[in-house]
Amino acid sequence: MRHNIAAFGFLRGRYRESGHDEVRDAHFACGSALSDGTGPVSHSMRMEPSQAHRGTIPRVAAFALKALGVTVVGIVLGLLTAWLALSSAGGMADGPWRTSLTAGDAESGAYARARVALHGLFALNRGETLYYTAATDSDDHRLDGACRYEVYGRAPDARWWSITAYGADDYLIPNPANRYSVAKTTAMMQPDNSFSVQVSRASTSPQASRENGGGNWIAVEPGRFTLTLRLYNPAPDIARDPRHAVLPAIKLVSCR
Amino acid sequence: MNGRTQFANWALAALAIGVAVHVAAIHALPRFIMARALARFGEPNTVHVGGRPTAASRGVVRPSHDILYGACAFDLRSGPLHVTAPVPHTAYWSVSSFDSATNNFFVLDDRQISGDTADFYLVRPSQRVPNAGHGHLIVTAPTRRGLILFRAVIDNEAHLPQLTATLRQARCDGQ
Repeated sequence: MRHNIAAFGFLRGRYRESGHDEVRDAHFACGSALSDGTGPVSHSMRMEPSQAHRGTIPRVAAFALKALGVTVVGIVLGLLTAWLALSSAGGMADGPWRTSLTAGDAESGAYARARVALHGLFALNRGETLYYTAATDSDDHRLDGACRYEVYGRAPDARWWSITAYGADDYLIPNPANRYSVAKTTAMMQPDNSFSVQVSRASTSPQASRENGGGNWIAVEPGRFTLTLRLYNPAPDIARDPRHAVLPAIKLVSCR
Repeated sequence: MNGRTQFANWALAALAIGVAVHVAAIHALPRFIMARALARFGEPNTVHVGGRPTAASRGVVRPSHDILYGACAFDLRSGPLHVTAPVPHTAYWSVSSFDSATNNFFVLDDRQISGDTADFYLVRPSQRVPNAGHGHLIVTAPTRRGLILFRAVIDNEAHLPQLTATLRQARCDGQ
């Protein structure tokens, strides 16, 4: 047993002591039949077997408890740091938008892969599609569904694009108007190829809908949300270097 | 051994366990999420086409409301898979494949297909396709299990029924 425990390295010293005590206990219990040669044994210190076991069992129990505690602390520490690492935004920023250069790529690192699995499962590689996500407006304030925003700019240089709002749970936000996104095929564009999209609370009132931008409106509900801009078949220069894409700005208009 | 040294040893042990758990969690998470997703898509080697994603769609995170999806959870245990799908050519359409660690190892979109049908075989490195004609596209899957995903952009609400019917004609058949 001493050798087995000593294999744990750092416990060696502790268990040599413990083993030492065990041997001495055994010696006391069995008279002169055992000796580890560590010192004289006084017959006046002779102990009964039950007393010897009473001394060993609490030590083993204490060790087991400590080992269990350390294991639990280690597991909690590992999971907590993993969660923290995956909670960080990752990727690269372009204004309020962030994108992963390696999303969907087999060569992506373990953290990028885990982030994509959590927040963007089945993402295509960047040659096919670029995914930009914004959790803040252009002034770096966290997006809140209690506020109204304007997303505006020139149409991204891609074969098809869309802007979609997601709740903190990464799913589409339930809203009475069923307005989840604006896309190249549904957005009302200006003659100069620019657009402006309102992002605000849902309302079933037609007047409110007109105020919200009519067709160019994405409905959200109070609470944190994010916007994802998808570029399908992006222009080659953007696919090569997504940092240089000209992306829409996100302006806070008002908060209730 | 004094108390301070003992504490340092226990702290080191907790740290070592923490590092091991951290690495294992980061490594295992994509595989775990993929396994759950594959189980959700039901019978393997069969194409499932869902409706237009809404707030009620809770199968896969961050679905696009503007895209119609079809999915085939593949399992190459019994042999290669023959994938065929009509290509609408009305808006963006693609078929892509993901391994069991969520990596996108293959994608083919409508611009890369000159005809009206996408047609390819999915195989493991050790597998051969017995009936593949000359010039057939053969894609090697890095893992035995994974997912084939069809995407079709809904360019017009009026096209949705036709797009759904087209996506339902997609096949992923074991050989």
